[in-house]
Amino acid sequence: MKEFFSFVKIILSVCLVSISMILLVSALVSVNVKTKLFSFDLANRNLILNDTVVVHFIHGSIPETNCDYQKKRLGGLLGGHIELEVKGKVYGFLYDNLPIHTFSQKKFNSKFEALSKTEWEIKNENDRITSIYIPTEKKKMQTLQAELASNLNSPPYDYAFIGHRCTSSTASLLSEHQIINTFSDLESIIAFFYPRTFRGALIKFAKINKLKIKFAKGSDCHLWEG
Amino acid sequence: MSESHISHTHPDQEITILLNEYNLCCTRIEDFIKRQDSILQISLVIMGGVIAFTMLNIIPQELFIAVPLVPFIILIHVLYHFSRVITNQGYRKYLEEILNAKILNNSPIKYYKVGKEFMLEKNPSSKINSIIFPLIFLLSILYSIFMSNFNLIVIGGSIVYIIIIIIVGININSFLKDLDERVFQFCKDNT
Repeated sequence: MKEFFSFVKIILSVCLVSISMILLVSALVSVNVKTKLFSFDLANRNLILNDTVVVHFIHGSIPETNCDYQKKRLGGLLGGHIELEVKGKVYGFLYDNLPIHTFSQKKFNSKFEALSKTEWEIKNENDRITSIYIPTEKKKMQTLQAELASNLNSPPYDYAFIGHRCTSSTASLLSEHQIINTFSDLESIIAFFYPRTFRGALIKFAKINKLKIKFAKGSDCHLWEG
Repeated sequence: MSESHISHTHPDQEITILLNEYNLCCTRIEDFIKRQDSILQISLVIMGGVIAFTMLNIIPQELFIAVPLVPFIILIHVLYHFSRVITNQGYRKYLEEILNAKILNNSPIKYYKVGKEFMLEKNPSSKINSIIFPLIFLLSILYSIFMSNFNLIVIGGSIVYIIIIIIVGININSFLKDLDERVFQFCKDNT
């Protein structure tokens, strides 16, 4: 009995240390990425910021029982969705079918979809949305648009819980085209694990750089996150 | 030197040595009280600085996980020194008993009993004092969770802090239980 308890103690200690290390590494990576985001020099004198990319954050929610608008998102309150608006089209990264993969697989269960701004507004008219307008160069917008168009045909990665989802995918795209600070895919997955973390960071970034933020309240009969 | 002279100086020397040892013991205990005051003042200043920094600067939410680290370290430090004080309390009780036995039936030295009864067990402010450091720690956890907008990494880190403090608290509590009596008995058994 004594040996069993000491074995259990060892296992619990190992679990506690492992969880602590995971949290510590996640915190360090997140702090590093977000600190660089906050100090990212958007108004560089050598750049002509003559175009705008809009990041739309659809907040996570739980619909009330008698609510007419029963749209549910994966993740509930911690869920939501993030989409990029580029030249009048709104692009989003999501899964093909449920259930989603836990880890990335070789056979992808993912897709990029695009809607015109009008179609997108109609589809999401009852959602709580925070939209952040990030000025950028025309050249960067063109390369971003080209990559998004290519991703529509063939997504470059799987949609997985421990892997890319809409948040990290959006962050990676913005980073890759130097619209925000650069970081790796792994850093993106760790630092922006769910939509609220990226939304919070980008709102602070927008306040520092005095960027335009639009907010749509959404349906009254949903319990909204944020 | 006559035999009566040797037998007369020897007990006096013994009492002097014991008194010195007793005074050192009392000094160690009182030093902890003084140290506790300065630790409390320093920790309040540090926490004030941390709170001001986090409120006045735009920082990543995950950085709030570091806020409870300061009171966490201080709490562990205070618990360690408190265990040393209780050990010294037991040793002081032993020294008092020997000194009182040598000062012929009077037992005038009662600081251990007075201290334990009126400064510790029956003193309500000592009970309030004992919860100040854990309270600062708990408040720092709540602050970090709220200010990070309920960030999952901060919540996870706070849970880990609390688990570690509970484990440490249980272990230290079982170690400190009747520690002074055990030290006293140890000294008596090893005379």
